[in-house]
Amino acid sequence: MGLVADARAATRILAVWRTSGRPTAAMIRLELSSTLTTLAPYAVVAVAAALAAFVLQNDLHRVQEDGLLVIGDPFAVSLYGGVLLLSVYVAASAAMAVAREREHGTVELLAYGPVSAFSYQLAKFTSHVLQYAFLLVLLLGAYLLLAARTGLHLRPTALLAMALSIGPAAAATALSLLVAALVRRVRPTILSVLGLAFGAVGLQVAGDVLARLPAPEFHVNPVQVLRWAAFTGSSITQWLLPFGYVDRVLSVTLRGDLTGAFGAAVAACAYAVVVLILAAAALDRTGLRR
Amino acid sequence: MNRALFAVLLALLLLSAGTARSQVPVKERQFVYGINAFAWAGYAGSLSAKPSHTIYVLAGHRSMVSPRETLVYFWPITGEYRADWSGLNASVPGTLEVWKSGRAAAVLARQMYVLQYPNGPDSEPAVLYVGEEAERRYRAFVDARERYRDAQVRYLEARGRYLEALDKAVAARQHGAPVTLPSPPEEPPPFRLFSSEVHDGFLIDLPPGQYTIRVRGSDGQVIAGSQRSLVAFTHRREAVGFTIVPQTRWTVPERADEPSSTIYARRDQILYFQPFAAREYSDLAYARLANPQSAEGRSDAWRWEYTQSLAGTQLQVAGGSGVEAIPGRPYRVEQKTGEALGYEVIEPPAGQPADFAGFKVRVQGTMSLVLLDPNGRPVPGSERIVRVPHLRTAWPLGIIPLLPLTLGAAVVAWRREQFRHASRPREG
Repeated sequence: MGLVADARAATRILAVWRTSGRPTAAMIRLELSSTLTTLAPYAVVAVAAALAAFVLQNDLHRVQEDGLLVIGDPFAVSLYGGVLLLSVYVAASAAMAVAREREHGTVELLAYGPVSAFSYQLAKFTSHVLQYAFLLVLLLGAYLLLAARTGLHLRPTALLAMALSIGPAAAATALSLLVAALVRRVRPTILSVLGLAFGAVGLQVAGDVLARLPAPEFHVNPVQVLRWAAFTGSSITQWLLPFGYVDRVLSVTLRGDLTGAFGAAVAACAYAVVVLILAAAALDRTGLRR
Repeated sequence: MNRALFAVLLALLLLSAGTARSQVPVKERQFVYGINAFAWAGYAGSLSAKPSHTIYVLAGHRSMVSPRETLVYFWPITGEYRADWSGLNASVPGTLEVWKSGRAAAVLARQMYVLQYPNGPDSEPAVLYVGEEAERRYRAFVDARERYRDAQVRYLEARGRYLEALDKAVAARQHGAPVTLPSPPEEPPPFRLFSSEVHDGFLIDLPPGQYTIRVRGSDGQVIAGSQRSLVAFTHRREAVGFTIVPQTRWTVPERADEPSSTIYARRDQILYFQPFAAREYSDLAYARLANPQSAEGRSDAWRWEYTQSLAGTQLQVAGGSGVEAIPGRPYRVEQKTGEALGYEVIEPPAGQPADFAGFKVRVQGTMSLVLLDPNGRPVPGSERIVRVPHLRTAWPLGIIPLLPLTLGAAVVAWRREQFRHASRPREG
């Protein structure tokens, strides 16, 4: 009896793989080959590497001039910038892929085959997360070359932070797929994704800058009001939007708090799964067809 | 007409400016807490007035809060409420109730206290004496101050007599008479001890946690406006922090507080390491410890505070040339004379005071440092790495970012070639 049940289960899995797994895998391959054979992702890595080179050159200049530099991780700032840049690029790229295919009607063709909204979104999600991982490897290569050339140490925690940043990048990709499923058209989709990314990061930067400005405590002061607004907005977007997860994962990992780092990465992955399901549901509701 | 209007406006403007200059702050009689909170740089005196703010104290350390009535005014320059203690400084009788999670944690009785600074005012360490000890210490301070004043008077009299004798001796020598010069009087050693007056207040020494405090008056009623939130906070981490003084830039030392921080320096650079026991606190809590009204400090940031110097130990340096234990020594900074301005750090000649004490390290490649305790064991949290970066590398750094771009261009070219290759048979 048991053998028969096992055989039935295996047959069912095989059937599911044939009907939706294979098309999904094919879509992932297609998406990867089309995105990684353009110049844009390499240009983004080049910009991230240029940012690192600029920061490290500045550090070397300080050692040269002052004779001394005490720093926790010379790559920390570059890592923040680089990971954020790659996350925003991959998120925007995923949103653009879905929105463009919907606008051009390509998705409509897929709907006649064995492709569900979920498998379509899953394919887009997986291909873009894999793309992020590939770009991360390229960026790591650039960082290793910079570290070897400058003598400024790339710490193991920085490598771990890069690996764990896949979680927040996946969350950002899932959110962009949700936006693409809801908005439909290419330009508003891209603007929405970029608006969310720069809004979240901008609020955080504004909060940091305003926190450093002196302001009287008791009298109503514009700095105080702005600081409060930025802090409140930032503390909401830190959890609602995935770009806050990038900051959380990196800062905790670079501090050496491995438990907190894995916790933040797992939270980002959970966010990605939930939002991906929402994105599939949204696409199902708004329709694969034009 | 216009000229008359202009004159009237100018007069009004000048009058209003005069009024603004002569404005005095409006003072309000209020219940306040005078706070002397323990901090590692000395006791921080502050005020908790209305609108009330949370009072922060270091857990496990003795701080004083003193309920008083005073005149409170807003000082717009610093944006803080201040007390006019000279106008009114009345003690509020009663007991202090400390509540935690809705339960009374302690009922404290009023005690006398005094703060003394053995090395002079505003210098470390500050010592808090409470109860009878406070009054005894204050009397001892007053006695010692009077003895110093008497000794100073005696010294000045003796010096007057000495100068007089010196003048007479000079005059006698001018007349050719044999002269024996008088010996100068010895000046009394400087009096450094400083003490506050004896005040009364409540001694706060609580474990970490959030509390509520309030004063219950002698009539059994809680005094209106006396309730405050109080946070007793403690450190997150302990480590050894270093102040690093480069020989060429001794006026601008760097701090290496974070145990994971790396020290980058030029080869052959001489660095002086000054170790301190350090504790990491919440930035916001520590800022509010010094001043509950402070708008500084961030809830998501941390800061290292030095608790004591660890100069009396050894620094072990391990590098390419082996392992060496460097003893701490006193050093003196001398300004270079002549056109080549700058400083020189030297070991002080006998009898000359030192400017600082530290461990002298000459940077030679990658080195690992660790502070040794008196038993020769490494002190946890004192490990640091010193590295020498490759300087003068401007142009290769600019090339590295071009590599991914080159790879991308190669991939695009390959893809086009593949496409062209695949589309050729169809064309044929």
